[in-house]
Formats: sequence, C-alpha cells, structure tokens
Amino acid sequence: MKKLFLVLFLVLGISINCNAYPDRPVKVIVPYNAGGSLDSMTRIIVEYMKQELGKPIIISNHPGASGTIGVNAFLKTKADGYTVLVFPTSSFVTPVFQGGKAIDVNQFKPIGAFIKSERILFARTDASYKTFDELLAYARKNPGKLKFGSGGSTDTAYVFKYILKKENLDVNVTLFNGGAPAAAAIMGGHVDLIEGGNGSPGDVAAMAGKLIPLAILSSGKLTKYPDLKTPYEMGYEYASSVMFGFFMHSDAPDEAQKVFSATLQTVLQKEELKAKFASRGVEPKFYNGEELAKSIDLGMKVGKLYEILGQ
Amino acid sequence: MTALLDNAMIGMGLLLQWEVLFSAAGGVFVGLMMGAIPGLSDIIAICLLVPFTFYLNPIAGIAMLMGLSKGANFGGSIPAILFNIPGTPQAVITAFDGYPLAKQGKAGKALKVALFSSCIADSVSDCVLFFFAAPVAMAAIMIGPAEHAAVVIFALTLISITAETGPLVGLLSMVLGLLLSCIGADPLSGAPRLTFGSDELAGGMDIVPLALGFFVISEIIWQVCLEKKEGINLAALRIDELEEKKALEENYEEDHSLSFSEFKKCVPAIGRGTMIGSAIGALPGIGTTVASYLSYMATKRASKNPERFGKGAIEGIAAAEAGNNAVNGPNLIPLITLGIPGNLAAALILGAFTMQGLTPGPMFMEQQAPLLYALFIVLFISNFFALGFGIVCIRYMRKMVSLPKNYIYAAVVIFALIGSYIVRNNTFDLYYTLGFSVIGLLCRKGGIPMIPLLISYILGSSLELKIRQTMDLNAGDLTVFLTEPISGAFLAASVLVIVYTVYRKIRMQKTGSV
Repeated sequence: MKKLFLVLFLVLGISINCNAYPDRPVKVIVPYNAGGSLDSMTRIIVEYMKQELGKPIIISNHPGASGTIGVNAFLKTKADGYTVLVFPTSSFVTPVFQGGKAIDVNQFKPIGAFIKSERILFARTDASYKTFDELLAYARKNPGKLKFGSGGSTDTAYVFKYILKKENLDVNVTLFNGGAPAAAAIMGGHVDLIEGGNGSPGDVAAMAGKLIPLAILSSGKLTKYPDLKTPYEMGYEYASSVMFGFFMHSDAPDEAQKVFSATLQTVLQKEELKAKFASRGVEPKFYNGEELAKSIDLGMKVGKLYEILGQ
Repeated sequence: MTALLDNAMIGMGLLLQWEVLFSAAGGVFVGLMMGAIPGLSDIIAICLLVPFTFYLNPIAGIAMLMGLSKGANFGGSIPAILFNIPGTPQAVITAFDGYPLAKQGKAGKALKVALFSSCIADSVSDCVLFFFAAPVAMAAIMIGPAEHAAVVIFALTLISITAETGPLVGLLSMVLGLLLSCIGADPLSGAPRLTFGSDELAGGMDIVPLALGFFVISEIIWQVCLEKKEGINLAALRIDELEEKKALEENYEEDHSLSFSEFKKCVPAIGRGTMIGSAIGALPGIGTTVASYLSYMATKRASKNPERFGKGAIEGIAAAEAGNNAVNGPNLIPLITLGIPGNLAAALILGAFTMQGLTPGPMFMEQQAPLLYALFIVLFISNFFALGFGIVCIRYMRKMVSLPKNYIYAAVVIFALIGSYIVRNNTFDLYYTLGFSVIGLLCRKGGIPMIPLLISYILGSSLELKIRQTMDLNAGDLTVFLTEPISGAFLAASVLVIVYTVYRKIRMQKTGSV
C-alpha cells in the first residue's frame, strides 16, 4: 500500500514538474484581516496578476498576533511555490520589541515587493515649529512637554526614541495601535507629533494641509515631500525600513519564484493599477527579491535599539 | 445649503442605476440571513463579501457592505426572540424581553417591534450622518486616550451596577471579563502574556468565538439540561406548543400583530435608544452591545412599572433594538470625514474604499461629495429594504417557533462552530468557543450576570491601552484623568452612580421596601 502511494506521489510529482508554473491556483496568505490596509493593497495587485498568470489566485486571511499566526500557517504549507506569503519587511523584527526573537529570515525566499512605505513624522499645523530643526530646538527648551505617538510601527518609534536619546531630549512617547487612532489623536490635540506611513490617515490629512510633515524616519526619500530628510541624511545611524513583499518557502522551486516575480514586475508597470493607489499618494513600484531582502536587513538592524534603549 | 442640494442631486443620478439598488438590497438580504443564523455575523459577512466589491462600482460595493450591517442587525434579533439564542452579540439584550414574549405565543409581535424600532432608529442615525457629519467628527476627535478611558470606565460602571443580580455580583462579572481580556497580546507592545508560551493564545480571543460559546452554545446546553430535569422529550417537544395552539384558536391576530397604541407606547423607548445609540456611535470603539444595553436600562429606569421588564415588555425590545441600530450611521462619520474607522466593520469598509482607489479623509468630503451623498441616500433607502425583507421574513420565521427543538439546536451548534472558525480561519478558535460555553454554563449555574463579563471583555484591552497611553504621554502622571474636563466629568459621573446606588440600597433597607 505504502509503495502504491509512493509511486502515485512520484507520478503526480513528475506530472506537476512537466507543466509550467502555475498549472493550478496559487494561494496568497495575508496574515491580517480582510479589508485591512495590506489586504486591500494586495487584492488590487493580485487582481492584475491573476489576469497575467491565467490562473486564479486565492487570498486567505489568517489574522492575529501581529502576523505571527499567519506566518506560522504559511510555514506549515508545502514548499511548492503555490502558497505565497505577503508580509511587511519591518514585521520580521517586531517580536524583538516584544522581548522575543526575530522571525527567522532563512525560512523564506523573497520574491519581490510592490510598495516601499516610508514612515513620516507629522506635527500639528498650530505648532510653533515648522521644520525638524525647529522641533529639536523647541523640545530642548520645553523638556517633558511634547507628546509623540507612533502610528503602529514599533521599530519607527524606536528610531525616534534613539534620536531623542542622541539629542538628549525629553519627549513623552507612546504607541497607538495603527495609523488611524494616531491621526485621530493628533487632530484632536491629544498628542503633538505622530509618525505614520505614506498613504496612512495622517498622511492623507497632511496632503489636505491639516498636518505638517517634518522628517522621514525610514530609510528612503519621498518624491511628494522632496525637502524631508531621512535619519541617515541627518546623521543618525538607524532608520526603519518597510516594504510590502511576497515570500515563498526558502526551498520553493526557482521557476515558481521567477514566474511570480516577473508577473509582479509586469503588472506594476500598468497605469491602470497605479491609478488605484494615486488618491492616497502611494506609488507602487517593483522591487526584486534582493532589494526586498536588503529591506529586511535594514529593519533587523533597528532591532538592536531594543537592547540599547531598553523598553 | 445649495451646495448640499446640488451634490445630493448629482448623487441621485449616481444612485439610479440598477446595480446600486440591487447591491444594497442584496446586502440587506444576505445580512438578514447571516444575522439570523447564530454564528454568522455581519463582520463575517463583510469579510466574505469585501473581495466582491472589487468588481462593483464604488457606491454599489459600499452600499452592499453597509446593507449587510443593517440586515444583520435586525436578523440577529430573530433567533434571540424565538429561541433566546442571539444571532449577533448585540441581540443578547433584545432577548431579555423578546424571548418571554415568544414564550407567551406572541413571537410575531416581538419581531415586529424589533423590526420597526430597528428601521426607525437606523433611519434617524443615517440622518445624523447626513446632516451632522462635520460637527460629530469634531466631537469624536475631542475624545483622546484619557477621555476614552474615562468613557469606558463610566460605561462599565453603569453596566455592572445595574445588573439584575445586584451591583456586587455585577462588579464580579465585570472584573472576570477584564481579567480574561488580559490574556493574549499586551495591547501596547504586542508582547505575549499569560499565554503559557502558546502562539495560539498569543493571538488573543476574537469576540465572535467568545460570544458564540458564551451565549449560544451554553444556552443550548442549559436549555437541554432544564428540559432533561423536567423530563420532557426533546424530539417530541415543540416549543410552547400549547400556547401556540391556544393562540391559533383565540386571538391569533392580536398576538402576532402590533397595534397602533402598542407602537405609541414604544415611541419614547425608540427615541431614547436612538439618542443613546447615536451618541455612542460617534465615539469610536464602544460598540453596539453597550448602546443596546444602556438604552434598555434607561428605558427600564424611566418606566412607571419596571417590574414588567424581562417578562415580555415590548418597550424593552424597542429600546434594545433602537439602541444598537442607531450606532450604525454615526459610526461611519469618523471614517468618512477623517479617514479613521471607528469599529471593525468601518475598518473593513475602509478596505473596500481602498480597493476602489478611494481614500476617505479630510479632502474626501470636498473631492467626492456627489459620491458621498449618493452613499448617504442609498443607506437611507436600504432601511426600507430592511423593512420590506423584515416583514416578509417575520411572516415565515415566526413559524420556526414550532419546529422541534432538537433539529434547531443541532443546526445552531454546527453553525456556531463554523462561525467561530471562519472569523480567523483558525481551528484554535473552536476551543475558545467550547471553553466559553463552559464558562457561560458556570455563570448561569452560579447566577452571575453575563452581560458585564461580555462587555468588559470587549472593552478591556482598549481600556488598558488608553490608560497606559495616557500615562506614557504624561510621564506617568495619573492626575491628568481628573484635570482633563471631559475625562474628569465621566469619572465623577461614575462615582456618582456608585454613591447613588449605595444610597438607594441603604434607604430601601431602612424603609424595608424592595
């Protein structure tokens, strides 16, 4: 009986290898809620990839524990390239800030990313400081007075805390569980500063002139705010790094990786797709597997701040 | 004002496409069905249908999702009234008076009260959304972390102190809920705690599996136990067969219809419920169950003969349903005006906007005004769909009362388990459901009120989060809760409620009256 199964598996295995990837539906695991920000962006991308690949792509949501449940669910699936994980690179290091270990990067094969999100520092329009330097000067004169809330990115909060430490400033820091509550808090005057991604509610408010962007706290520049400097440009050693990317198992077939990556690249050039992101000021762009891996490395570096700064 | 009318006119043009009306009606219908089946809630329905909105035009897509909430809100009260099994968490309160009425053979009357009060409150709350979006949004952002914590403390105080079994047991139940809410991820850092190293526990408990175990499965086991004790054969049992037959012979019409004088009696309850619901809806993250409960208690307090409540008072149903439906409209205000979703359903709807390439936020009102007005109008029209489908549903579903209970129970248990699984596609959630059905049974056995536990569980982690954020932002200083005017007022009100309850208790004991 066992032999029969073995033969059957071999035959099936060979027949699968004969066909070009993908010869059956591909499943994309989103470790967050359906309708969430990563989920809805992924759905737009996947919609176009489906047409290109000629096979259905099914999205499966496994929310919970800041993505850990979904990642574990992904790791339990077969490494055949037919199950793909979509994950923000900054989330690999998240467990470090919770007193645990970072997610082991070697379990994954980075396929390609579609968005590089930058984290921006925003201030209220009625604040007396209008630039990052003025903010530093103000904070120096008024220790313990300013209130900062992170819009859901723990690593970026640590980058900001590091800047405060290096400048020897006293600012109250807290975390909000997402860009939306942070934006509500700053518009209601409950905090003076927030950080949020491009396209987050805070950024949408800034584009409407209701908040002022002061600096970027992640590693890349933004074309819509060309004057904003990154931490590297301002002389700080740490900056957060976020890319939304697709991952396969580390031992997934190379062909699957190539096809999926090439398809992603093709659809990301479509104007129609870009238009869907335009109203929130986000520019989707193709980043290959190496760039994706580099983004994870940069993020991992920020994890060291947990030891340097403590909780 | 003319701009408003202009936009409304263009909006009407967008609206008069069969696709939009069809999607709205479809949403309401599916929502009604999903709500009526315990285990399938509007959140699950929205999760399942969000991907489909991709293929619809924006208004049709959003109208469908909103229709789902509307339909599910009334749908949930159907099994609550017929079998004391709430279809959605907020329908728990509707069952207080709905189930006793159904037991008296007046299921039709109870369902009609629920339907009319739902639709009226929903329509009024849509008007609040339509006409007062900007001021309500301004009020909503005045609630920062400190204020939010104070509002939650006030709500929890009210809920536990008004528990029927007495304030002390109510408080006990609330504390249990708060303790349970500590399991899972630390709300501030996300670090796992009280999880015994289990990744599954670190995911925390979703409210849907919890409510399903706590209210649905435990209720079924409880009823089966009761019936065993009384020596009734389940398979042969037809719920309240006697009453049903009697009603058929005598005053069938009167028992299942709602007279104008009865409706008039409900009007103050609906008004009160609508106000409370709309106010709570404007505050993000408090929720429908709280609105429904507070509205029920307010109506009970205001009644000249509160002893009728819990025994089939139609005002009780009206208050509960008006309270939970009035939350809907204002709940969308922070999303549409500021791009900030106030609850999970709104967050999912934000996702649907995103997929359409639309970004709600401060500019949205100006740039997409015609679309928004079309949306408001379609929301309003959806209430009439809900009314129409509701009336048809009641005609048939009322008769489910006389189905053999063993079939109903078996089906409900299966749906409850399916429902708890599909929220997160996580088999571990099934254990939560079963675990909570045991806790629910213990509460019933021990006479511990279940509502404070449920609500304090729902609000527990946000309460902790807001308190800790406030402390972070004020260098650990707790006095800020008292010095900020809004939070100070709510905390003072909480203390007053406690003092008043104790005072009344002492006076009652002195005079010897109950």
